[in-house]
Amino acid sequence: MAETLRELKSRIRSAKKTQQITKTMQMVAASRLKKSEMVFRQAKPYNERMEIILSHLMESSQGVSHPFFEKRDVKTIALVIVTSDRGLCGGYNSNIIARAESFLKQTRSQDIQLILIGKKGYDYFKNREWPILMKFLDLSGKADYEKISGITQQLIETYLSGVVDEVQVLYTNYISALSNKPVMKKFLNLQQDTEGLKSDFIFEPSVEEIIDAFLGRQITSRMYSALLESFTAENSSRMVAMKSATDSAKEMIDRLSLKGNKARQAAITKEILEIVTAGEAMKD
Amino acid sequence: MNDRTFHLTVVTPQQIFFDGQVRALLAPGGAGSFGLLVNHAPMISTLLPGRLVLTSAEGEKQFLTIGPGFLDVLNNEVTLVTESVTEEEGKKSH
Repeated sequence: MAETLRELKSRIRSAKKTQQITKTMQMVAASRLKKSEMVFRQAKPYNERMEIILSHLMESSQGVSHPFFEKRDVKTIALVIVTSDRGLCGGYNSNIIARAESFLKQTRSQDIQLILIGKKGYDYFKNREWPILMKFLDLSGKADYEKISGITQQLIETYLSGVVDEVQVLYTNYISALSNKPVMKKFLNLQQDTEGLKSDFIFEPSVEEIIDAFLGRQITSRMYSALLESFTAENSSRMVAMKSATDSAKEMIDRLSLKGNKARQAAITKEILEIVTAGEAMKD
Repeated sequence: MNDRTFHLTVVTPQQIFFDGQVRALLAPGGAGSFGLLVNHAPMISTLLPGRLVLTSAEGEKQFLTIGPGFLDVLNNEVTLVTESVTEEEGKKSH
């Protein structure tokens, strides 16, 4: 009996240690979530304004041809998959990967080139049948505008050079701290608005030059916003996962403590019983 | 807020830098520097890195240094998007 009591004690100790670690990770994730959510919210107005300017451009630039608007025969699709670099974030990565897999399996008529952002996605896809065109594993949960701009430049180049005919981005939609959803968005090519002219815009210096300069930035802005959203979702998933780990550690400790108390009680009862029995025996 | 002013927003990927009524704006456009007053025709222009001068409703001037960007004018609603903005130190004058 004393053996199991000691065993139980050591199990309680280790569960407490685990609980401490998960609790710390939960708190770290919570503070990161706060920060990344703030950055994400601050980036939103820029992205929204860029979309407004884009719609103005689209309305008034009909008949202007640009490679970004070009309707191509889609033979090759680039699928950008955004995952995290680190694990322990619940279903965050597996949701994205499941979504990617279902898309990959459905798409049979076109070739797919993967572009992977994040180590977890790379770990999963590196030994699979789909070719990997590019991988970016050095963002480590920080959305650096310069770096993302570099990634977008490379994406645009592969599109313009005709390596791929369409760019789809699969990332995680941050709905609230408790709920996220993988979403897929088409980044290229862009659809030109077919509705009539709404306002007669003056273009300085010229519409072609503006489109040239603007669209690259526009796509960078979308990418930046998508990545910020994904990172926010990652932090929230990690926080939730760590919270449930902490909770189940607590449950385990409670259960083990109860068992331990019972074992201790039993040991004491047994000891008293032995003493009393021995005393009784001596009386005779 | 009188009818000689228009609404200006200056936005970067990191923040909304400026959001308010101004009387005039001088910007480094892609086809040369230009000024904006109220009731300007709809316009989209590229912006070169350079100095932006705002004149507030009270006539106070504010100098900003901006990176490359774009300016959109529609119905007295001016949006300026750029990747970087800083205020020039010690340049606030009346």
